[in-house]
Amino acid sequence: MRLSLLALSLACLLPALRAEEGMWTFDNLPLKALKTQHTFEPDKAWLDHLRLASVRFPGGSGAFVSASGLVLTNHHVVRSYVQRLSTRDHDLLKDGFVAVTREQEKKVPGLELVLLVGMENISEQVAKVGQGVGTEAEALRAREREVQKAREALRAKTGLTVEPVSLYQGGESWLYVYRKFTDVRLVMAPELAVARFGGDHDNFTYPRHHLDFSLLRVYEGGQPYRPEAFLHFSSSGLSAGDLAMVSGHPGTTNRLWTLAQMEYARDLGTPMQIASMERRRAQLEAFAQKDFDARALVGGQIYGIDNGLKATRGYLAALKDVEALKKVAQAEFDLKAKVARDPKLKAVAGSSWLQVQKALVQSRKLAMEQMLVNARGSELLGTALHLVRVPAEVTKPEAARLSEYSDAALVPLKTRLTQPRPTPFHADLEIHLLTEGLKEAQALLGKEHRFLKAMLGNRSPETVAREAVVGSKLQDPNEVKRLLEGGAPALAASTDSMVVLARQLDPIQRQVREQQERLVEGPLREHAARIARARFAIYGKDTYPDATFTLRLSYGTVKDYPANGTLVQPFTTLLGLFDRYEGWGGSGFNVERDTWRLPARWLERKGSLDLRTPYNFITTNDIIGGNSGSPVVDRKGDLVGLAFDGNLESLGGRYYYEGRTNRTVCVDARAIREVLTKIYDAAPLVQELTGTN
Amino acid sequence: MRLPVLALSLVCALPALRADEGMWTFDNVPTKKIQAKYGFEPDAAWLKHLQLATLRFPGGTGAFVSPEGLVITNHHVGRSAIAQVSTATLDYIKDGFTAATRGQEIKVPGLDLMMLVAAENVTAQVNGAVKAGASEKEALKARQNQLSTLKTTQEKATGLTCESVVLYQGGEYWIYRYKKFSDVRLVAAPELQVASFGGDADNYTYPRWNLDFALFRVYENGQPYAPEAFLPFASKELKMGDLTLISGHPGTTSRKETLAQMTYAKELYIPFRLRSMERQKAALLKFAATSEEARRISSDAIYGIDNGHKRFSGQLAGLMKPQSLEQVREQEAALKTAVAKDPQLKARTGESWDRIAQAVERQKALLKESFCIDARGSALLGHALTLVRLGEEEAKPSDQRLTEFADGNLKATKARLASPRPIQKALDAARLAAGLQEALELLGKEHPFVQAMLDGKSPEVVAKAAVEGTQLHDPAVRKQLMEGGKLADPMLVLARKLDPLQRAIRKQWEDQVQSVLSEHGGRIADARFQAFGKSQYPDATFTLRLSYGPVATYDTGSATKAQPFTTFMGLYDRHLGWGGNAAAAEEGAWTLPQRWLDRKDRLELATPFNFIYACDTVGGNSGSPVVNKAGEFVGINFDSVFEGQGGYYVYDDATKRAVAADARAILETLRKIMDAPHLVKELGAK
Repeated sequence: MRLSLLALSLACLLPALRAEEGMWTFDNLPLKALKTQHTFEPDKAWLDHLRLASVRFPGGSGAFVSASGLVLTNHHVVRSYVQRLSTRDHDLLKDGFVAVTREQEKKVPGLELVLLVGMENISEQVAKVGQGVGTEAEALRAREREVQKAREALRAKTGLTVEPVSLYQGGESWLYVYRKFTDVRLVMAPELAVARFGGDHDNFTYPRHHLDFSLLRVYEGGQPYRPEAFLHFSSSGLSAGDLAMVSGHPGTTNRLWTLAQMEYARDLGTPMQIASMERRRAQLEAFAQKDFDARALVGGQIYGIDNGLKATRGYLAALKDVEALKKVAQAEFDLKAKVARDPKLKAVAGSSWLQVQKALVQSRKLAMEQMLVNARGSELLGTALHLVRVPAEVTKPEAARLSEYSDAALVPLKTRLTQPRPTPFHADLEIHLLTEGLKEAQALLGKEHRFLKAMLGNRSPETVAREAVVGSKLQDPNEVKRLLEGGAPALAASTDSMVVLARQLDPIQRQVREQQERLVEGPLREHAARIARARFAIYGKDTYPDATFTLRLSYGTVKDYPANGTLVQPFTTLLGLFDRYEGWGGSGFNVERDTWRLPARWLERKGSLDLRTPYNFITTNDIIGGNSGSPVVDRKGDLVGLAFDGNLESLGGRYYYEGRTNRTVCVDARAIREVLTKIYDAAPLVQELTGTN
Repeated sequence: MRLPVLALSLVCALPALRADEGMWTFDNVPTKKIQAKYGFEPDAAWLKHLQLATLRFPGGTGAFVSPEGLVITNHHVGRSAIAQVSTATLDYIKDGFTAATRGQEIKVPGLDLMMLVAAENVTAQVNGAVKAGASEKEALKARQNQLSTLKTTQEKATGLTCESVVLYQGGEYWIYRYKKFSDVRLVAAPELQVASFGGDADNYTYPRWNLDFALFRVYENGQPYAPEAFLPFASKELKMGDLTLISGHPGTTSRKETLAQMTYAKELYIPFRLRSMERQKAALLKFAATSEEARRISSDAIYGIDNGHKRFSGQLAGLMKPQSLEQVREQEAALKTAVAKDPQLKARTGESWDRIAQAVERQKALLKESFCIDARGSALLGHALTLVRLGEEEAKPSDQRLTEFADGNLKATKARLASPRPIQKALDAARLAAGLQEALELLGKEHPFVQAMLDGKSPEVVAKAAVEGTQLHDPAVRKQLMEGGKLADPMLVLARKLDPLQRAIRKQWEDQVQSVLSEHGGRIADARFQAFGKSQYPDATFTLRLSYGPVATYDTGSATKAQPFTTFMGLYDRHLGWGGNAAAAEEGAWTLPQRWLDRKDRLELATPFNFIYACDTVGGNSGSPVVNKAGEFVGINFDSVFEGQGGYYVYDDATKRAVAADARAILETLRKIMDAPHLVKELGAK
C-alpha cells in the first residue's frame, strides 16, 4: 500500500488571514508565509522530523526528547495518571517524583500514546460514492460507509491504528495512521504546587510562573523505545522576536460558525452555560462547606469548574468583542456574495445561512429542556440509564442507534462502566448532587413539567434522591457487570431503585434528544457542511481547517502584548516566581488556600538556582486546548519550550484569531534544565536531554 | 422604642459607606469605626502628631521623618525641584543624587512647604454675610468676599499663611492656617529610571516596581529645622491585612456631585478632555521630534499628558460600570425623599437638583468656550495676563476684584508671578501654538477669540512671534512690571486681547454655572448633614485628610489576584523579562541604571519593594506618608491602580488600591545602592 507522501503545497495566504493565524495540517503548510514573514524555509526532512517526534496523549500533546524514548508533556496532561500512581504514603502529586534509575520509572496503567506515521487523503474516493445517491442523508450515510471500508482495509494492511479525519467540515476526508505505545512509564513530575503555581487564580493569565512539565518514557518489548525522531533540547533558547513553531493536537475550534451561531452563543448559549456551571459550583461548594474531608472529596471538581468558568467567560468576552464580530460578519458577507454569484454553489448553500438561523430559533425554544432533562449530575443515574438503554439499543441496526451505542463505542463504554472505582463511593455526595440537580430542574422547568412529574411524582427531590441512592447497588462495578452481561432479562428483572428511576427518565430524555437532533443539530450539521463545501470550493486549501484533535503546525513569534493597563513582558524568570511567592508575605501566609505556596525544597535550594533563568514565555502561536504539552521548537528544530496554556485573551481563539493579544504560554526549556539539575538532583536526565546518547 | 417616620426613613436611606471609604478631615476622623473594625482608636495626640509631621508640597504631600528636618516625598513630587538644581553636567534626574554631608545639600529656590497648624470653622460667619433674599450670584460674591476678609484678618493676627477651604460643596467654610518653610534642600534622590521604572506603560498599574521617593531637608535660619513631630521608620514588619493610615492632600474628587453632573462628566466632559489631551500629545510629539533638546525639555510634559489621559480613562471606565451611576441614583433618590418629607428642607433644597441640572445644561453650552478662552497652556501668556490685570484690579475695592486679586489672594498671585521657576521658551511656544490650533478647530475661525488672537495668521506664527519677542521669561522683568514698570512686549499685547474675552466668558461661567453649583451644592450638603449628620466626609480639596485601610490584594484586570507586596526580585524579573533586550521595549522603560546591575548581588532581593493597600486616595496624595498603628512610617504613597480610578466619582472597595514604595526598600537602597548609610542612621533604622 501507499501511505501518501506529504505534498508540500505552497499555500498562498488569504488576505483576510492575519499573520501567524492558523493551525495547519502537515500536508498543507503556509510555507510561503513563513518564507516571506520569517525568511524561514523548513525542508521536508525538517518537517518530517518534527512530525515524527510529536505524540498525542489522551486530551493533549507531547514529544520525544531523547534517543531512549523520553517523552515531554505538561504536568496537567498526565495529572490524573500521576494521581493514580500515588498511594496514601506516597503522594506523587504533592511531593513530585523523580526516577533516578530506569528501574524506578513507574509504569502508568491505561496510558496510551499515539504517533502519526501516515496520512492518506481519500477525499476523491469518498466523494465519488456520494454522487447520485438518493437523498442528502442517504448520500451522507453511503460516504460514512465508504470511509469505514477504507479504514478497515488500511488497518488490515498496516496493522496500525487508523482514524478517519474529516477536515474543512467534510471538504476533505483523510485516514491518519498511528503507531500506538502502551508501555509508558513516569520518569519525573514536579510538585503540583510548582506545576500549577497560582492555581485557578493564575490560570489563563500572564505573567505566569508554572513549571507545567512532566517526563515519561516509552518502552517497547520491555526496553526503552528508540524513536525515529526526537527533539534536542536547545542550548540557547529563544529571545524576544524569535520565530517559534508549535506542533500538536488542537482539540476544537468553531471558527467556521456562521455569525448567527456566534450571536446565539453570545446572547443565549454561553450565558446559559455559565449560569449552569455557577449553579453546579454552588452545589459542590455547599457540600464542601461541611468539613475538611468533604472539601478534599470535591475540591478537584470545583477546580475543574473554575477552570471551565474562566474559559467560558473568556469565550463570552470574545463573542462580545464588537470589532471582532464585525470581521466575522464581513467575511461571511464576502462568502455569501461569492456563493450567490455561482449558480452551482448557490444551489448547494445559497439558503444555508437562513436555515441555520431557523435551526437556532428552534434551539432557543428547546434549550432549557436540552440542558436539564438528563441524569442531573448523578453518577449512578447516568450508569443506570446506560444499563436501561444498552439491551434496547444493541438489538437495533447500528445506523438506528443512539450514537454512543455504536459498535465502536460499546466496548470502551462497557469497560468504563465496569472498571474498579478510582475513588471510594460517597453516598452523601451522590444524594446531595442528585437532590440539588432535581431542585434546579424544578426551579427552571416548573413542577408541572413532564420530566419532573415522571421523576418525582408527588415526592420531594430530597426523598427521591435519597431513596434512589440508598436503594441502589450500582456503585459496585460487579453489580453493573452482572446487569450488563445478563442482557435484557437481567435488566428487566432488576428492581434496583436507580434502574427504576432511569426507566422514568429514558423515554423523556430520548424524546428531548430526538427533537434536538431533528430540529437543531441535524439542520445545523447539514448546513454547516454545505457552507463549508462552498467555502472550500471558493478558497480551497488557502486556509486551514477547524481543529480536530489531529496533528497541526502553528508558527509565531515571542512577543509582548498590551494587558492590565501596560505592556506585558515576553519572558518571566525564576526571580518572578519567588517575587510572586514573597509578594504574599513569605511562608507565614495562608491566602486562598495557599495558592502561591512553594514546596520546602524550592525554598531550601533557592540559593543554588540561577534566578535569572527564563521560566515561562509567550508567543503569538495559534493554539487551543489539546495543544497542551506541544513542543515549541526554534528554526533548528531544537526544543526551546513546552506550550501549556493560552492567556485569557486567547480564549477567543475558539471563534477567531486575534494576533494583537492572543498569546500561547510556554515553559522555557532553560528552566526545565535548571531545575532538573538544581532542585531535583536529576543531572542524568539533563545529560540524556542535552546529550546525543 | 418607635422611631418617628422621618428618622426611620433616613436611617434606611443612609448611604452605607463602603468598607474603608473616606478622605476624612482631621476634625472628623471616624475613630469609633476604626476601633470597631481594627481594634485601634487613634486618639487626639496620635492624630495631632501625624498632622504636624505631614507637609504639603506644590501638588503633593510629604512628611518629616527625622528630628533634624529630613522630609520624604515622592520623586515625582520633587522632580521639578531636582531638575531645577541639576545642571548641564550634573543630571540628578538621570543619575540620582546623594548628599554625603549637610554641606552638599542643595537649596531649591522657590520651593515652599506648608504645615497645617490649625483649622477654624467659619461657616456661620460666611453664611451670615449673605443678605436675606440675595440672588445666587450675589450670595456667591458675598461669601467669596467674606472668606477673603477673614483670611486677611487671620493672617495679620497670626503671622501664618491662611487659606480658605470650602468643604461639602459649600456645606462648610474653613480657614486653614499653615506654617510655611521656604528653605528646602535636596538631600537624596534615586535615578528617574528606578523612581518611575516602567514609565507611562506601568503608570497606574500593579504589580509595580517604582522606588518613587526623594529626601529633602527643611532649614530655618540656616540650620536644620527641628520639627514638632516626625515619623520614625517602622520597626515592625508590615504584613498583608495590617491596618495602614495615610495622611495627605487629596486634590479633587467629585463624589458628592449630583447625578446630572456625573452624567455630564461621563457623556461629555471626560470624552472631550480625552480628545483634547490626544491633540496636545500629538502636537508635543511633533515638537519633540524636532531635536534632541526638544525631546528632553518636552518629555515631562508628554508624560504629564499620558498620565492625565490614563487617569481620565480610568475615571470614565469607573463611570461606565453600570453599578456606579446606579448607586449615585439610589443615594440621590433617598436624599430627595428625605428632603421632600420635611417642609423646611423642601423649601430650601427641593429645587436644588433641578437648578443644578439647569446649570449643567449651561455648562454644556459653554464647554468649548470656557475651555478654550484662556492662556492655552502657555506659562508666559498666563503671566502676561496676570500682569495686564494687576494694576486695573488693584485699583478696585477688594470685594469687586477678580477673586485671585482680592486682598486675601493677592500675595499668592504675586508670588506665583515672581516665582524663579525657569520657563522653557521653545516648549512654551509649542504649547501655545497647539493650544491656539485646538481653539481654531473647536471654535472656528470666525469666533471672536480666534480672530483676536490669530488676526488671520497661523497659530505657529502667532505663538512663535509672541514667545520669541517676550522678555517675560525673566522673573526680574516680571517683578519690575509687577511693581509698576512699563514694557512694550508682544506677549503683553496678546494678553490685552485675551483679557476682555476671558473676563466675559468667566462672568458667564460664574453667573450661570458656578454660582448655581455653589449655592445649591451647599444646600444639598446641608440637607445631607441634617439627614445623616457628619458621618460623611467632604470631597477632596487639596487639604489635609486621613484615610485608612488594610494591606490587601484585589482582582486585577488580568483576572487574577494581585499580590499585596512586590520585591526586588520582581524588579529584576520585569527587567530581564524582555529577554535581555529591555532597551528595545517602550523606549527602554524597563532598563535599569548601571549601578543597579552592578550592585544587584549586594541586595537582599526578597525585600518588599512596593505594596498595595485599601486606603481611599486620589491625586495630591502623592508623597503621603503611610503609617502603621504605632504612627511609624511604613511606606510612601505614590499611585493608585487603574481599576480604582473611578473613585474620583464613585468609590469601589473592590478595586480601590493605593500603591506605596515600602520603607524597607528605601532603606535597603540607601544602604546598598545610594551610598547613604548616614541617612539610614538618621532615619533611625539599624
